[in-house]
Amino acid sequence: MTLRVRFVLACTLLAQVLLKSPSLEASVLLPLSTAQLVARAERIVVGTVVGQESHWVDGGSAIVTDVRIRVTRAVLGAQEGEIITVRRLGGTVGEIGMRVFGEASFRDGEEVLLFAERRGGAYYSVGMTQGTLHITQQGGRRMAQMALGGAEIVGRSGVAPVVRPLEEVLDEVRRALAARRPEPAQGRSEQTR
Amino acid sequence: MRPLQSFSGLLALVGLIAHGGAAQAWVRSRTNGCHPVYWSQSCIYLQPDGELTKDLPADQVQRIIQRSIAQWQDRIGGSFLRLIYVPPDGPREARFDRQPTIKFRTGRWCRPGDCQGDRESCYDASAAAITTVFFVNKPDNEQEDGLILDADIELNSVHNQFYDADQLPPRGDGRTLTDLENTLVHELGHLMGLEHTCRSAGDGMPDCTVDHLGQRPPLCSTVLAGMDRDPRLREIAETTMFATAQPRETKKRTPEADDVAAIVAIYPAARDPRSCERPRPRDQCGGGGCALAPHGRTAAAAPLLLLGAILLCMRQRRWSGRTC
Repeated sequence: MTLRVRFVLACTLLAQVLLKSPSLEASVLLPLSTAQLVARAERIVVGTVVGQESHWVDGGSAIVTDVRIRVTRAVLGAQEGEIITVRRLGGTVGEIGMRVFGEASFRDGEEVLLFAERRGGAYYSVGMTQGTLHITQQGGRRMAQMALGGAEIVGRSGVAPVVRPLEEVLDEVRRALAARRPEPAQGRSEQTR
Repeated sequence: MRPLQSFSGLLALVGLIAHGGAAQAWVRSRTNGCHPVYWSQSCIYLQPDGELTKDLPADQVQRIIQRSIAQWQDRIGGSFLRLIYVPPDGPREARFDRQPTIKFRTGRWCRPGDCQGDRESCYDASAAAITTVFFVNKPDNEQEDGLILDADIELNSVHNQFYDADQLPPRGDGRTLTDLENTLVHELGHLMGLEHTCRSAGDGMPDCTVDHLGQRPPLCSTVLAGMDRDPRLREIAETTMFATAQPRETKKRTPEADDVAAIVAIYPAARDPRSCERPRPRDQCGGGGCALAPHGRTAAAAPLLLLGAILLCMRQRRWSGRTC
C-alpha cells in the first residue's frame, strides 16, 4: 500500500468519524420538532374531520384526497367554525387505490390538531404524517397523539411520552409561534424552507 | 396469483430458523379492504428517468441503482420475485402508467401538472424519497384486491444531496447529505409491497395492519425510546424497513433477515407464476395529449408502438374512468 493510498484511507476514516452525528435527523422522512412544524405551518387548527373525497389529479397520474375539517379552535390562519380543506396524497377512486408511504391519514369524525402549509395550490399536512396529531380522550383529558418525528422522539435522551395532553402541546405551539420571526405569509417558496 | 397467506407464517418460521432465530417484525402494506398488496408477476422491471440527479456522475448513479437492486436480489434466493434493471432511455415520469419508474426530482420537489392544465402537486420537503404504489381496490374481491398495478420511486434531490457513502462526503451545500443506496434499498422494499416495521399516528396504515405474527406494529417512537434497553425493539429499529434513518446512515443498504424473510414469504419460489411481461410503451403527456415514449427508437416500430399506446390508453381509461 503506497503512502498516498494510506493517507487517503486515513482521511476517509477521519472524515467519517468527524461527520458522524449523534442525533436522529435525516430520514426517509426528516423528523420535525414542534417548533419546526410551527415554523412551516400557515394554518394551525384543532378541528373535526367532516368529510373526505378522493380524485385523480395531474391528468390521471395520481390520486389525492381532499379532507374537510371544521375548525373548532383556530391557532393560526383560520377562524373557528370555518371549514378548511387539507389535501393528502393517495386514496381510492373506483377500483384503483394509491398509497404513499408516510403520508397523513384522517378518519371521518375524528378530531385532529393540524399543522398545514400551502404547496402547489393546496394545503397539506406539514411533514406528511408528522403535522397531523390525533386527539383522543383519556381519563377525561384530551390527549394529542404525537406522530413520528415530534421533537420529543428525535433525541435518544429525554424521550417524552407518545401521547401528550392537548393543552400542553398547544402551549408549546403558542410559545413557538411567539418565538417565530414575523415573515410574510404569502409568496414564500417551499423550496427555500 | 395471490401468494398463500396461510403459508406465510410457516415460511416465516423457516426463514427465522434459517437466519439464526432473529426476531422478526415484517409488515405488509394493506388495502382498505385489509388485503395485503402484492405483485402477480415473477418480475418487476425498473427503469430510471433519463435525467438523473446531478449530485453524482450519471454512470455512478446507475451503478448505485443496480447495486441497490442487487442488495435485495442477492438475498432473496428463496423468492420467485426478480427486480430487473432497465437502463434509462429517455424521459420518464412517475405516474400511473404501469411502468415502475425511478425519478429524481431536481428542480422542484413536485409532481408536474399535466398538459391539460392541472397544477403540479408538490411534496413535503422533509421527505427524502416517496414511493407510490397503485393497486386494485376491490375490497370484496379477495383474489384481486391489493394486486399492484404500478409503483414509482421519486427521490428528493432538491432538499437532499445524494452521495455514495463509500466515498468521501461531498462539500455540503445546505441540503441534507443522504446516501443514495441507503434510501433506494428502503424504497425498493415499499415497491415490493412492504410496510414500515413500526407505525406512527395517522400514517395511513389501515387499522388491520399487523406484522407477520399478527401483532400490531409498535409505534416508531416506542421503538426509538426503548431500543437501547430492549433487544427486540433494537432488531426492529435495525431493519431496512424501519421508518427513520440516522444522518448519513448506510445500514439500510443491506436488507436484514427480517426484510429478506418478508419477501421470501410473500413471493415464495415454490409459487412462481412464471410470467414476466415487460411493460408496454406508455402514454406520456407532453404538448397537449398522449405522446409516445417508446423503449426503442426504431422508426419502423412507430405504428406498433402507437397501437400499443392506444391500447394502453384504453386500458387505463377502463381502470380509472378517465380519458387519456
